[in-house]
Amino acid sequence: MPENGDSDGDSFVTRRKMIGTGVAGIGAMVAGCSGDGGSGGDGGDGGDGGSGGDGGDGGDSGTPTVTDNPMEALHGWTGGDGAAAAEEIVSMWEERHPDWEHQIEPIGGDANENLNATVARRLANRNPPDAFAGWPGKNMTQYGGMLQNMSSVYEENDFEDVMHPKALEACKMNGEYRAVPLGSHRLNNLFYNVSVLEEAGVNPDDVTDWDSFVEARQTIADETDYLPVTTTAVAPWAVLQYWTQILLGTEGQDVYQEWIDGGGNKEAFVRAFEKTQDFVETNTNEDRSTLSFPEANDKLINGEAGFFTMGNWAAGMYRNAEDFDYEDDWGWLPFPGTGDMYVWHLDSFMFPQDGNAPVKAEGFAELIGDAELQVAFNNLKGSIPLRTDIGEDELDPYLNMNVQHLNNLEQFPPTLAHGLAVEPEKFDACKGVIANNFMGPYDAEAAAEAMIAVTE
Amino acid sequence: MASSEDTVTGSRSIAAGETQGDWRDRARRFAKSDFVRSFPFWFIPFSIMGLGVYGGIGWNTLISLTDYEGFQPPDFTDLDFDMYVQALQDPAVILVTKNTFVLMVAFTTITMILGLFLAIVLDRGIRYREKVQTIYLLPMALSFVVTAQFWLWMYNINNGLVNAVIGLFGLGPYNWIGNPDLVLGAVVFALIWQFSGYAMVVFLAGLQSLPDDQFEAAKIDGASTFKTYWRVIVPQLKSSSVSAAVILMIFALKAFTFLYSMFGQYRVPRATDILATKMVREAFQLQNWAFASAIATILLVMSLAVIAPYLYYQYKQGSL
Repeated sequence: MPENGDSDGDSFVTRRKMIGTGVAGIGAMVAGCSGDGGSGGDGGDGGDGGSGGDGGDGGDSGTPTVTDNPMEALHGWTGGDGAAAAEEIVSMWEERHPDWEHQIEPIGGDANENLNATVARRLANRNPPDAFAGWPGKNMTQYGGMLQNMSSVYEENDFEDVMHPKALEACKMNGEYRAVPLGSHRLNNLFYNVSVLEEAGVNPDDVTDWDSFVEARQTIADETDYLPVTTTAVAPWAVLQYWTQILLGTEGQDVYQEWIDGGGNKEAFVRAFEKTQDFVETNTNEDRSTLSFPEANDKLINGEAGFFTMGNWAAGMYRNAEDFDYEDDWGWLPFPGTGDMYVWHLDSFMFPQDGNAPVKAEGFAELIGDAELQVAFNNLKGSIPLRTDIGEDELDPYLNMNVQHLNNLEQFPPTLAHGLAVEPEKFDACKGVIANNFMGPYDAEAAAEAMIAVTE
Repeated sequence: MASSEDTVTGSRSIAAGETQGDWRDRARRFAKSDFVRSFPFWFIPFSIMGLGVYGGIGWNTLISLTDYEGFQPPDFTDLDFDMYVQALQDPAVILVTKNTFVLMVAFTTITMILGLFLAIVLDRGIRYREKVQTIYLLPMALSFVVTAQFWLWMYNINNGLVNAVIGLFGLGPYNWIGNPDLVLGAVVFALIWQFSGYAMVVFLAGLQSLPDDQFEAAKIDGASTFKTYWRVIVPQLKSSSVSAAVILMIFALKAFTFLYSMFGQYRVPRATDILATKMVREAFQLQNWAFASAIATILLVMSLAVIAPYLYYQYKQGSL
């Protein structure tokens, strides 16, 4: 009588025995895997701990030779003007180094989130790219012990003499330069639609501080049917950005800097949060919770809204829109109260140790700091080049104005919502504070307390 | 050797001969058994699954016992349950566990009830039955990315379809996404829309396998339609409902894709933050690999807790 369909009729192998053997086999396999992972995991000579250990000058054991590997650079500019600007990098590399293969690739968008995740994964797997785009300064400290020393490139090209001093400061870590600055976006902008303001009878020059801004908003609401202010509140980083601008504009940079350094003025924070609530809720678009910033910006371009505040990458949308020109259709003001500040954001390329093509990586670093590239890239991207020796006729008028400010202003508060003010873990905690206390019901007191606790 | 006068040795050699033969016989039988002959067929998928799925689970659990974070290699000499203690004490983790649980329960029960209702309606026969069936099932073929994006548009407070439709009944425009009390319900509703077709198909198959005599017998006995279904038919759908429930619970635990596509980032509104989104944030934004692994293991334990009764039920039935 056949059992289990065996032709031999043996009940040697039953289903339960098979499950038992299978589990034992898997156990063996897992033990094998974890054994390998343990011993093979400690490669590289990256210092100690992840908190800014001294990485040393990896790779100076004799002059590195040119390998056959392609130079791999990752960045996050996948769409719109960012993609066009990134194309400039590619074409200039191909022009200058026609025989050096490259793999300059974009990775998913959205404020570098996917890019950071990919880079983190590759660094953890000991398979770093040769270069990747990112925000230096405090954001770079998370890569402590993993980045290559690029000071030789700086010396060969005299970057120290030519780059803006704030940029040089931000690209240094553990005493050496480890990143090359590419472009800076300014955060404290208030864009406005010229015709909407004209119709409402608001003179943009009058909007110099918070109270006059509130007045201007009210005037637009009373005199026209347009939205005074268009906002995006789908993400905590946007609300965090609004709060930072308002804090700087109404309470001053000292309060901000004090908080970054570990203190915190609770009354000032509560006032700023209350004003932020007012900014987000009063006289703004009701669907802010489902709009991303490009969609909110569209309202201004379409003439439905008067004011919009965002980093000046938003101006890229104005440039791409048809028939929407600077000073004729849209204008710029510093965010009310921040007229003498340049809220500082910086894009750069960072260079990990143990990439596959170290010599080519140095060539790439040279290219990023090159004047021609900085002009070409930033003109398309809408950010401001960091070299101080770029002539006025090479950039468009809006950028030129910002370059003047970059070179002449004295206050440079670092941006909170783009990683330059505090380290990544605290930055995430700040976003958490906003997400938990300030995204639906707005609780200024709780948010202020929690925000102070982040940097304590 | 066999011709020795020593009886003991003689018997030993005979015994040795016997065991030798016996061993060879067993080996031969083993080699001819189905198990070995089918080896090339089952070994490859089995090893892929073992390596990819169970190996991955084991590796993840191992990482969660270390203190791995950042970019330095993990230290396997110091294994402890610190990460689990930290996770279970973290108020954020407790909140997201609650949200995950609410999402799971609400989504599963409502989808099953809706699917059952639709299946009953279809089973009783309506016009264009196949077309209706296909239309109900189609949403399941859509990717979460697509669904999330257009639900976001539909939930727009000013010009979204949802507010337009309920506006016809005079109900005011609701801020579905912006209001933290409503957003979880909005997300659950979108997920129900996507999966009630699946539940319907499972129940329909179950209903169609029931003999028609039962309906007639119940009618003769004077039972109303409702009573027929409630007392006679639905209890027989136990196995269908169990398998549908298990699959739906797994989909609920995978709601990460939907949430990520809807909000475009790892950080979703607090009311919809679930274990999966918290885990991704901890791992890929903050590089707290061990903490994220602990959260992942908690999520796995929750799924197992869901499936375990089903497996036990099948075991009792003798089908396992």
